[in-house]
Amino acid sequence: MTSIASTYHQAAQRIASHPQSERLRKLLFALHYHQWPSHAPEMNTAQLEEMLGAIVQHSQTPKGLATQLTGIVSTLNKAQVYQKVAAALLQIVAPLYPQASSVAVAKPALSMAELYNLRLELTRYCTPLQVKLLLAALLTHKPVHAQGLERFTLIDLLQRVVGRFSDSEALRARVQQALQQFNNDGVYANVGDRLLKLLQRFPSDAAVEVTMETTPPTVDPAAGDDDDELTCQLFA
Amino acid sequence: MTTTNSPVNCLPDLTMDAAEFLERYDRGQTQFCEVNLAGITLTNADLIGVDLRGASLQGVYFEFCHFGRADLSYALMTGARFEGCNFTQAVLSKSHFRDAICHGCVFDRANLQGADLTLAAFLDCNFLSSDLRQVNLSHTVLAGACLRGANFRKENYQEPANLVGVDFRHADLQGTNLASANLARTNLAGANLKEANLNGVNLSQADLTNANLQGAILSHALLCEANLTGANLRQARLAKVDLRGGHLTEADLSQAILSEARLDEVQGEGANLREAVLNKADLRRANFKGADLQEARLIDAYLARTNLQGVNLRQANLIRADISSALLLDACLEEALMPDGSVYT
Repeated sequence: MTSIASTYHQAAQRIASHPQSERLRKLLFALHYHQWPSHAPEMNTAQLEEMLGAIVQHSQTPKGLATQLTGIVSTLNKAQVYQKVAAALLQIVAPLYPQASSVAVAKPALSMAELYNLRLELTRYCTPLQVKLLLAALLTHKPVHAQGLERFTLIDLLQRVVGRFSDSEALRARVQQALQQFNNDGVYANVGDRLLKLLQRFPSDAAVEVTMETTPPTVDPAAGDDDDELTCQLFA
Repeated sequence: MTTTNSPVNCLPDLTMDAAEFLERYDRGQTQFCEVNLAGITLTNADLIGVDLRGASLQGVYFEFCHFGRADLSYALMTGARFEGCNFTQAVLSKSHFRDAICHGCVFDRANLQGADLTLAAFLDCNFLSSDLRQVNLSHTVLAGACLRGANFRKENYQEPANLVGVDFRHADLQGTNLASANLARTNLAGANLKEANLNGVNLSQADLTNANLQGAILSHALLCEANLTGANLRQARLAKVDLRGGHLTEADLSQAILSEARLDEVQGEGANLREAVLNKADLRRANFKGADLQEARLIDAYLARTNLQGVNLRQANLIRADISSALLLDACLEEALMPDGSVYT
């Protein structure tokens, strides 16, 4: 076995034997298929190695992986639990990257109470549907239709946007890009402007630092590993 | 029109298509009482102040239309679809929304008194300070709706609002007065009920998973078999609440007041009850394995066969509490005030 193959084998074994193996596999599945699984997928070590290879190739850097994990975790109703699981996964996967160094999984930037206040402020001068359409346009490059958004609440979309754009400059650029879909309609421009301003009011997100040298983060294995997490239909 | 019992009689049964309706409105006509507009489609229409009392709007499709201060009382909107429409300060009393879909609409300060919303869906709609008294909400979906300041209270104080089985998933009900309402079997998962008045409500079998109930008043509430897994109940007032058979797994009840609460057979593994007040609470056969009860007050509490395995009871007050048959394996009782008044060392 080559040293690279051995590293992948070790990572797969650590996932398989981890006390939170089911949750780790759920996160891996979401990373790979961009969809939250209703049950932890059954995978043997070889399948885990294969999936790890694809994930490492796709995310390219530990930082890229951390960003992806942050985005997924922020969409879950058990975000706090999965934040620790994601940190544990990052700890396991980081050595697979050649330039592995210090990486972090960001905490959900806003509490639920703050998200509800943000929703209220955003809908003060326009309809909730207009806010939803803009938020969806930030999350996907595909055309968005109102009826297609009925299965997502505005809070769902806000959580995803906040989770995906931790960098305000990246969000600003994406808003400018998305507004072109709306022919720079003033209503949507106002929503985008308001979103950027309101997000600046909230404290910048803290991050759980995971370095190669540190002890893996403790994950409570008793925390009832049921399957009631919000089904995570990630936008493409 | 005979179906709406409209008190007015302007253009009874006069059928109009969208073009004629808009043309008349543009010419300055605002009175369209009892007109028949069934099945028409309108987009971005500005219909501020239009009088559509008793009109038939069955099966219409209205997108981003503005009905601010419009009068739609007694209007028939069965099976209609409203996308992003604005009904701010509109009068919708006694209107019929049965089977209608309203997506991302605004009903702020609207009067919906006595409206029939049976089987209707109001997805992500805003109802800020709206009048929802005597509204029929049978099987209504209010997922993602913002209902801050909405008035659900009926005129007759003896007859509480009936909201049985309503879908309030991710709804914002912060500070709402729902005292004595019947919310049995409602879906309030992820809902924001911060500082809401839920005094004496019936929330039996309700789904409150991950709901925010921080500072809410739930005294005398009926929460039998309710699911509060992961809910935020910090500083909530739950005196004399009946939570028998409920779920509090991983819920945050720090500094909550649960005096004389019925917590029999509650599943509360990993719950945070730091500094909670549980005086005279009944926790028989409850499971609080791994819970945090540091500095909790359990004076005169009844803990017969309660599972307190691995519980943190550091500095808790257990004076006169019945813990004789409680399972205390691996529990931390450091500096706790024991039932006989001694300090555990």
